[in-house]
Amino acid sequence: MNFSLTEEQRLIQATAREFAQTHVAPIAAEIDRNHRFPEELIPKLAELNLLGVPYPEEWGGAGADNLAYVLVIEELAKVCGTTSVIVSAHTSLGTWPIYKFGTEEQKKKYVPKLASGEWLGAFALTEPSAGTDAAAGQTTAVLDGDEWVLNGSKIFITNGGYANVYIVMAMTDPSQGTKGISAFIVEKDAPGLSIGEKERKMGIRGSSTTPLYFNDCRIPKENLLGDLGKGFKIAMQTLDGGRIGIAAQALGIAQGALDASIKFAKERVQFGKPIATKQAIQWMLADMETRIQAARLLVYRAAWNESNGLPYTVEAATAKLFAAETASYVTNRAVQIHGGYGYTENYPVERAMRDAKITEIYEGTSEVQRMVISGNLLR
Amino acid sequence: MSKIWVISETQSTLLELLAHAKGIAQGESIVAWSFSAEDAQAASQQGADLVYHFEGLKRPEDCTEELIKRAKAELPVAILCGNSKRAKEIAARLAAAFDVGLISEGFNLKRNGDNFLSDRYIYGGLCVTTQEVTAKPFMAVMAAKMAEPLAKGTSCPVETVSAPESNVKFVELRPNQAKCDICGANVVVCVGRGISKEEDLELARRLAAKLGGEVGCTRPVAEDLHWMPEEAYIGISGQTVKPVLYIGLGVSGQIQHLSGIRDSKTIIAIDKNENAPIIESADYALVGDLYQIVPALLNELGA
Amino acid sequence: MPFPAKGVTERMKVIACYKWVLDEADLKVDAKSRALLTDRAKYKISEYDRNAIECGVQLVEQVGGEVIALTAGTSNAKNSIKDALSRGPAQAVLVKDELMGQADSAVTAKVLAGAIRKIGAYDIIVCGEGSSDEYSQQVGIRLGQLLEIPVISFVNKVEVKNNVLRAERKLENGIEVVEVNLPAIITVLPDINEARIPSLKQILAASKKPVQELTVADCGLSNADLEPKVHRLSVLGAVMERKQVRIEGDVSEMVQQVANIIKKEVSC
Repeated sequence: MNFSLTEEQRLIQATAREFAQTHVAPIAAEIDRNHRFPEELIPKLAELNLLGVPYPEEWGGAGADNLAYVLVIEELAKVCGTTSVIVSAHTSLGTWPIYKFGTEEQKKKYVPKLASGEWLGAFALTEPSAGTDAAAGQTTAVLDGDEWVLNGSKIFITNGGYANVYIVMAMTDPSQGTKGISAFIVEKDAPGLSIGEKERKMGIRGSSTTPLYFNDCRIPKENLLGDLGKGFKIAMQTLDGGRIGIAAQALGIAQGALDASIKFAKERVQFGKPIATKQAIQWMLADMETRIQAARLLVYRAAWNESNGLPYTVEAATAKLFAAETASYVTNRAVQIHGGYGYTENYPVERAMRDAKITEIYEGTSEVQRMVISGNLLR
Repeated sequence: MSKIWVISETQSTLLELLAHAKGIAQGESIVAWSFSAEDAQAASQQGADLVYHFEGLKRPEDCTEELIKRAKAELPVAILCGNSKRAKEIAARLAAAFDVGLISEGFNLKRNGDNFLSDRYIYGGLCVTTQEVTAKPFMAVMAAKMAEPLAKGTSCPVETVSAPESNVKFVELRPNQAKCDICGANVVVCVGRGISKEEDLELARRLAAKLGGEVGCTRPVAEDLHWMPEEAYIGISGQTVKPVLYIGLGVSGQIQHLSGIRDSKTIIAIDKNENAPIIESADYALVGDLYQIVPALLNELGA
Repeated sequence: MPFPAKGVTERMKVIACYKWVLDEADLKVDAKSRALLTDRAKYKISEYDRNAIECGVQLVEQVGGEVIALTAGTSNAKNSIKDALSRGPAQAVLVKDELMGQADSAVTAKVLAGAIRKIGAYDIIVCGEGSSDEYSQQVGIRLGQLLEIPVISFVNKVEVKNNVLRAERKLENGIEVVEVNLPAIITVLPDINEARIPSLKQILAASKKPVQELTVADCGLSNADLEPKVHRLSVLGAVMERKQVRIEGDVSEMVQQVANIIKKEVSC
């Protein structure tokens, strides 16, 4: 087994790290405090080809593999949970469905703009009454001549209000259950589409999370994505890849919190010595490190499977489940190690702890991941 | 007779080099190369046995080809150069012409017959290395302010020298608007990242004024925060200071900064972080809140 | 692989030299023995050389041409090639010899000069003003002397027009502006530019760019030429011998003690 990164992967990781330190770290606390979407980062990310990492160059992407993509998300997340999810949602959820399921015309129209970062993408599945029960969505799409007409609403859409393109799941045939759901490409200025107020969240506060409202929203007939009735399958497959991105985000959040804790433990002096000399702290750090290393192997392995054309659904689920719970564990310990200081905004660990929690919830809760994993075991 | 050459376009450095040369001379005569009549005069009284002074040059570096020619003819045993950028360029070209080593920013110069030893810092000031050179001429760019000029004595002969046109065309020299205040200061009060607001620099200014000193800063305060000009930052890529008293306010003491203050006579550090590197590198350390300590200190000093 | 001859007059050939160094941020010193600990240290392209490569790339972006990245090192330096190529050069040349492991500035300059003579015609050579490990600040200058071309050191601004290079040097007392005819060599300060972060496309394109490996013999040198002129006798952690007195007490106690110390040093 080869556990090393290739030279290209290491250089890509170095680019992402330098970008994160130079452009993201200086604004990470502020965008969180102000719930501000960091618009100024988008062109800078695009310039370095960080908004289309796993897509081929001829489609506007960087031409790198899924492991490189995971490395990029991890580096961004070490410094800023918000930035990492903006990139991950755009890349895995907003761009991938068109790349994978689009017709040649759709791909040509949308993928180069998305993969190059000229446009941002988003994915709209969740509704007020349809979270884990994704198939219970009530947004409808009815064909009227040359257009699909969408009615309904979505909630908790990442990149809402900033995306140029939304992949929207809607019911085309209520009698068919999950087979009656289809996927659509909705551009931001489609008539009848409106974006609601940004949610004020516990964490990843700079990420724009909004409802979408469809009031006789009209889109061209050509914007049906994939076959009629295949929307649920498209959504589930999309989420498999998205999970790897979120797992990478969780991994990065955890690593950033661990790095901060090591630094603090070496500097903080109590009873005449740095707290790093105390076994209680040493063992906490050891436990944090062990879980992070385990999470890392799961995440990288899932990405490797995807790159190599191997099935990755279960691998993605285990990676996301474990990495997310690791992030919550590690960030909680990190605040503990920092003591009172860790509870203040002067140190990054309280933000990391607030950011970590969502990784256990979105793109499939930890409960959903457990369903996927056990479902596979008990087939 | 064998010679030791010293070369510098600034007077204070030239006099320091003469002192270094005296320290290692074993019967050699000491020849100074200067670039102005005043420098030549000073050198002739403070250690040189012979002074050459280049005339009619547009810039000091234009002397290099001539210097190489004469050095090859006279084969000095050692050539010591100042640490200005100009002198470093002259020195490196000379060394290449002779295919000999060149110690850069050397100190603790020692001679053992034909062998010379010198220390210098590497890895950004983290380590000190002792280096030995056996080939002739021994060449070194000497670290500044490591020797006191010799006492004035009788003058030695001074000769003017000219040099041919160089292959570099001088266009103009735009002198610095800002002066380096801290460079020769007796007392330096240095501010670091522990200062939270630009307005708080006033505390440092008041303290410096009271003590007859100047205010300097660490690199981030100049380069990142832009609270002070570039000329004020002390460190391996900034100024080196050698004051009688250095007081660091909220300075953590990264190695790059410590390299710039290591020859200070007395170092006092005030910082809230007990584990800051400067605490170990200071003569006197106060671990506490500078915003309480400094105003109280100003009061105590009657400032 | 034969090197392209110098092209049309507008297109420039720039050689950017770089060094593959230990990352000083990873270095530690053993507190007791003062020994240097390099076991955790990774290598990187010296910071100043990133600026040199960026300078070369910006020059050819303005007037057309290409940058050749050149380095001399041990086999370890092979790991630097893709990194260097991802920063804009069109090709790379590596002079590889294990003896480079103890090379001093004199040796490095000779080896680079030999490689450049082999590369053939060029317009500009760009070097960092020094390396981030040794910072001897002399290789680029020596190189100019050995190649008998004009040297401009400590440059923080450069432009080229009609075969004339105009540079600004940041000196202690001001900015000196000079001009030279090409070919010439410049050594650059870190404030000459902000080295761009390599994009992912640049990183992935690096492996497709031509790389030539030379031996020192190819450069017209023998092992004797690689004998360093400066012998390193020891490397130890630098120490500052200081009193390390901790002044204790509450604010007024501390202030009284330190005020007394200050008054002893300076009259005030």
